[in-house]
Amino acid sequence: MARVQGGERVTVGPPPAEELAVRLRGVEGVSDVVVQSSRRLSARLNPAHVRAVLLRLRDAEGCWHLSAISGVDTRASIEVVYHVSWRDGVVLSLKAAVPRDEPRIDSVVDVMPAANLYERQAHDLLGVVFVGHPDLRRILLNEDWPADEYPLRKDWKPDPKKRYGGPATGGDARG
Amino acid sequence: MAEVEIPIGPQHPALKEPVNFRVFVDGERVVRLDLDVSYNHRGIEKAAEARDFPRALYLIERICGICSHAHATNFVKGIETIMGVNVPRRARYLRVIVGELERIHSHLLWLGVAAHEIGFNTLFMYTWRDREIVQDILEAISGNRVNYGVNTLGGVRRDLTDGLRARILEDVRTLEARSRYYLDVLTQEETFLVRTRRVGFLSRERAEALGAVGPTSRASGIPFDIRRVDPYEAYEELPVEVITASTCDVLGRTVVRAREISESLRIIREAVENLPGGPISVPAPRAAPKGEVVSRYEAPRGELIHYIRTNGTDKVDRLDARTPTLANWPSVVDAMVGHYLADIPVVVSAIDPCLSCTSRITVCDLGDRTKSVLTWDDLRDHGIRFYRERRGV
Amino acid sequence: MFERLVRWARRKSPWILHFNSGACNACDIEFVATLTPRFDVERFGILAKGTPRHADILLVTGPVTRKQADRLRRIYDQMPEPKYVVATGACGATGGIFRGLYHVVDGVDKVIPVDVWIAGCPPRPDEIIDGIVTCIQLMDEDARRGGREWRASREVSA
Repeated sequence: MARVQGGERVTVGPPPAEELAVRLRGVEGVSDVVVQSSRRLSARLNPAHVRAVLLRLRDAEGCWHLSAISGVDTRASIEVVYHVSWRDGVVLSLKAAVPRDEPRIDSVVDVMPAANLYERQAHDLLGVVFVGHPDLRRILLNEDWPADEYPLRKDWKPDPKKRYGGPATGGDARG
Repeated sequence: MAEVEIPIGPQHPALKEPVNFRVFVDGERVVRLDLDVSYNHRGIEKAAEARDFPRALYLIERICGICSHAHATNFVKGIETIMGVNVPRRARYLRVIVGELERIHSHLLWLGVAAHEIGFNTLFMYTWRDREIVQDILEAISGNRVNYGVNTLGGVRRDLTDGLRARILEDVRTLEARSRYYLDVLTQEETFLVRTRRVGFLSRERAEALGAVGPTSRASGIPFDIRRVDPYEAYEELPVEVITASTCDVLGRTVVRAREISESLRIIREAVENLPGGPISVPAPRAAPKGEVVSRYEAPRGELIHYIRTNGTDKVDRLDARTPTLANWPSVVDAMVGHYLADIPVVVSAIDPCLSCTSRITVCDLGDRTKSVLTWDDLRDHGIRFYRERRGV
Repeated sequence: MFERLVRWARRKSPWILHFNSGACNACDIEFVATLTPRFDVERFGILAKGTPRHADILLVTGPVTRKQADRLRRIYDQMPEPKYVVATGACGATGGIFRGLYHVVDGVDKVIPVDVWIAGCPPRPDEIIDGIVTCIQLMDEDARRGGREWRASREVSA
């Protein structure tokens, strides 16, 4: 598919991302497919279709690896981004936007078990609720961290009156 | 089912991050394993949003002191992609050279740790002695043995003199002989084989489903190496042979790493001998345009991925750093079930966790409802005694 | 006479407990390197031990995450007197590059008293050994003069 010539990558045939983009454009729940480079593309994902789309990618489109799930607070919404990859090095980032005041999306742990810890992480730091996750508890923040405080949210600031974990005596109010 | 709370006390000499295990056992058999990885959480991703790129780089380099160049390079090349900055060829080669040196130091470190876990302290001393050769080279290049700081936005900050190039080639020759020796020891030494063969079994299907990466997944036969399938820096010109094993066990993970050391030495030699001329960096703008990138790197432990969003300023809008160890934890958990308690240190170590097991271990037996408190040292000693009694090693 | 013997024994063979309070591991691996042939800290009689109950010196790496702060305190409390604390690296002193992060307490002395700080990011193994030797000298002087009370009563000279 590609030859290496004096440092330049010479591609024979369409870049793998282009090929995938063509197939993706027909998938329900997926929109705004953008090819960013020869092995990178992104698309918008309708949150209601997350399980169906990932199942389809896994079973019918040869996707074999869930690399990561990123949570991003865009202020307008919270985006849950699924980075799925193929053996030929292509990575597709599927962005599902959920409302900030009620960020809920179906868990995909049964479809892609690798999602387990990534969903817990997005839950811990951003407050996304993954419906159906078998064990959605804290993974990174300590046990004394107040509930309902999500440090990776853009508007999060520590409250000087609260305790966020730390030394039992004294402690600091910086948060 | 009685629970086994494992508050772990400090002892593991080759530490990384603290971790807490909850092990459910029935007699000697592990029924379930649960882990707490929050001990090392510092809040780096949030801090990166408040620091301009050069300062963020210093921070990101210290996500992990063992694979600091991996994090730094992965971050910097992601920003460079968004900015459209073309890093000069010489700089790409230098990044690869340092990256492969890092891989070797990391694998040797791990080999020593793994050996120590089974009481094979001589091997621990040998590997860490040889590792000093690599640390010396890294120090000669960068001025620091750890957290080398060779990257900058637009290239690298340190160059190789001809003298240094010659020295590296000589040290590579020495290390090549040593790494062949280690491979022999690992595949022939009975003590080692008993503790690692068929231990920590992780089938290819489970490895794929659970998202395992790096040598952990390659030892289950999966030929996935970012340097090969999604090449970055100079890897298109210096193609890497992907090393796999088919035994799906701890022995396989060990052999893969030992052979990767040899492969890294070969890449270093090729890169140093064919180092292109030219500048080592180009100027980069202060701010990055609005954009996003998925930057990937084959760290010593596997696929490292940084998802970066920028917003037209000199800071990131979001950095999500998914380390390979996080990707591999579910596999550890899966691989431990059905094994002996005595195998825990070895199976945990086998994914080369960027983790320091700083805890005191409380083991509760489901069967007779007894509870005992162990240190990690105790658990290691238990493992060594267990196998000595049963298998004479 | 017995005291002198105990002092000599302690000075000749201090036992070190290594605690990682949430570090990036750089200081940790440089500490471990001191145990290996190139640096060989054991020739000074220094041994790394696993339990707080037998340790003379607590060597702490990391900026102290909020998760580890309590555990660090508890480990320290379990150590018998006389006990000394060595804080490694920039993180141990001030939180280093992680200062101000939301899950970090910014330095070992926010949690337990520190006797010796070792600068570096990370400090080299030689520097770590130097720091430990400094601590041993402190321990020795304290033992001769009357312990921690004596030290606390001294004026700090500029």
